Amino acid sequence: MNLKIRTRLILAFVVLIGLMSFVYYLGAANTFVLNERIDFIVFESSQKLLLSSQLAEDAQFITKREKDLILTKDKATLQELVGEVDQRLIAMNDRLEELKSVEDEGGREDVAVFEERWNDYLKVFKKIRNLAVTVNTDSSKAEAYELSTTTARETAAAAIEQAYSRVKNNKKELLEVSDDSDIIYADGKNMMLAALVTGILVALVMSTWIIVSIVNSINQANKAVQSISAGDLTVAIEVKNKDEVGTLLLNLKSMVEKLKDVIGSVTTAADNIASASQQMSGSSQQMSEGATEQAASAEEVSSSMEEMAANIQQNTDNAQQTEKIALQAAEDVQEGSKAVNQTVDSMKKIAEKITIIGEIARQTNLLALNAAVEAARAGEHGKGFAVVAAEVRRLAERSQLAANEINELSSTSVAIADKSGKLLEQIVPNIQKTARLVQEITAASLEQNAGAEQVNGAIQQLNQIIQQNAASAEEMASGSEELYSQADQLKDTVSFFNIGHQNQSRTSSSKKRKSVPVVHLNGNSSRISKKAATAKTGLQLELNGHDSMDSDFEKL
Amino acid sequence: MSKVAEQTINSFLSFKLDRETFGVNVNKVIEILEVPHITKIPKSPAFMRGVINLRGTVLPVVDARLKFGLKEIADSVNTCIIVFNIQVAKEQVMVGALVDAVQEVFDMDESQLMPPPSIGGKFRTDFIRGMARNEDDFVMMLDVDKIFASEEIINLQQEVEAVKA
Repeated sequence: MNLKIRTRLILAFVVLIGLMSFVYYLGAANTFVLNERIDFIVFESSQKLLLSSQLAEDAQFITKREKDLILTKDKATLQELVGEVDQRLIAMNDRLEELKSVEDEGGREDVAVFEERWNDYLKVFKKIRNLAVTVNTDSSKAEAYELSTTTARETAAAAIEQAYSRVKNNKKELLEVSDDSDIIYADGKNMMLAALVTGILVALVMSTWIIVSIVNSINQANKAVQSISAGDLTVAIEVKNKDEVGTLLLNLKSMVEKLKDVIGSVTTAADNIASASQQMSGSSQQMSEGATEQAASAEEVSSSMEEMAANIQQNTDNAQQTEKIALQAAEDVQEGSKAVNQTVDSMKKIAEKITIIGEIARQTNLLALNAAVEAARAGEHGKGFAVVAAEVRRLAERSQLAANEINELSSTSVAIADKSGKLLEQIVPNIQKTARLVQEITAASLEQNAGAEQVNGAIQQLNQIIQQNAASAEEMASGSEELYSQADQLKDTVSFFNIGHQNQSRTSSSKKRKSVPVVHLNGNSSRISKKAATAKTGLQLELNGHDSMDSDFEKL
Repeated sequence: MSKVAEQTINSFLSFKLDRETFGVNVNKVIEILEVPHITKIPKSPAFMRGVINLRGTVLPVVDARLKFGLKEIADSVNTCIIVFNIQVAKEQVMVGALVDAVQEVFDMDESQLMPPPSIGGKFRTDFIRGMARNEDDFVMMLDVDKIFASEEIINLQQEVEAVKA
């Protein structure tokens, strides 16, 4: 029976409700009958019994009062008694009428007999009353007494007897009704019991059926859930039933499939994260090392800069000194130039004087020559004079030669001095220019010094930043280590789930990867992840495959 | 002075023209002068520099360089005028010659003179009486009378006359 639990339960409940309705119907029918009986008892039998017994009592009361009337002489008391009797009679009439209306055929006959007898008594009673009350004499009383003890007693007894027989009848009737209802009650009880037993049986059967089927299905599901909770996702879930639990199992099956997928993905992702974090760790360690090197370099640069600053400072000092020296030199050179000019003047004067001497020497030479000519012409007599003239001429020639030499020397000296003077004059602006340039150099050096200090400050800042970077890189390294361990933990955690042979191979590959740092050479992480997702056998690095990005790299 | 006396004097005055050294017998030399102001004579030949006033007499001055066919150069401090006494047609005439420099008076025998080279040479050989060796240099001995040829001298005389007139 491939019914749904709901259907089964509804069916069971419908059956049970039907049974219950049936039981209720039985109960209601019984109680209706019993109710009728009770109504009958309460409104008829008991009424009859009560009215008949009251009638009997009334009759007895009236007879008692008859005696009292006879015995009493006091008029007031008599009147009182009469009143009581009248009242009782009226009530008795009412009761009688009521009883008549209530009683059935047989009863009514009995009541009619009673009425007849009572009317007989009442005739006697009227006589007695007349005698006892209206006449009220001893004789009348005696007569009344006579009546009372004879006819009155007989009729009254007959009436009372009749009343009591009626009471007896009514009692008997009541007992009959009670017996009837007892039977009805027993019948109803039995039927209800039978219905109850049937219901219980049906309920037991149905509940057993339902419970067994539900428990079976749930046990199956429970087994599956138990093995899933133990981490075994390879459990084969068979769906036998098409009920809710069957649907639950079906859903559980798809959940297991999904879980397999998810856990596979998670494992792959964890592997990827582990490898990426390792890479990151390596990179950040490299970065940290690089930053440390950078810091060292920056330190070196800083010290170099300080040296440079010192050098620049020295340069500045030197340049300042040089400037002073250059200015001094310019002054000196100017003085030197003046001196040279003076020298030139002096030389020129000397040259002039020497020219005079030269002139004199030349003239002397001419004179000597003339004298020699004269002497030669004089012949033998002029010989001595000729010798003197030749000697004079030679002296004059020598003086002229010397004068010429001096002249030449002085003229070259003048030229040289003039040149040096000019050069010195040229040097002055050069030196002044040099001084100015040196001044500029000083200013530039000062600026350089400030610049070097700024650079130094910047390098210090750079150093700090680099150190921060190094710290950050180290933190990053430790963070990625942490990430790696987290990924490992994640893998461990996920390896709790057994999703078949892929899981084992993945864990082994991940273990392998632990020893060998993953180097990502293909350059296409998305492709790898896609491949990993599709293959589900962990990362397979294609190192020999040619990629479009491979061309960008040189093969080592 | 007589011709004999002339022969007996063996003293020579050497002077320079361009690079060459020339010599003349002191017999012919009257005196040596510094170059004074020379008065130019119009329409005179190129070698005729002009006349100067020599102690009241008019003395014609000849540029020896031009006369010897050398290039004319500006006068220097060494430029002198040698006053020669030349004989033209038995007549003694005074002529001044501008030379580059006067050197010395030296003695030498006529016998030591060597004859001038017959072929080639810069100068007309009839001016030259002979070559003498003075130390390392050769000195060309000039015949002053022949240098100043008659017609030239006549011209000179005429010019002098004209100036005088």
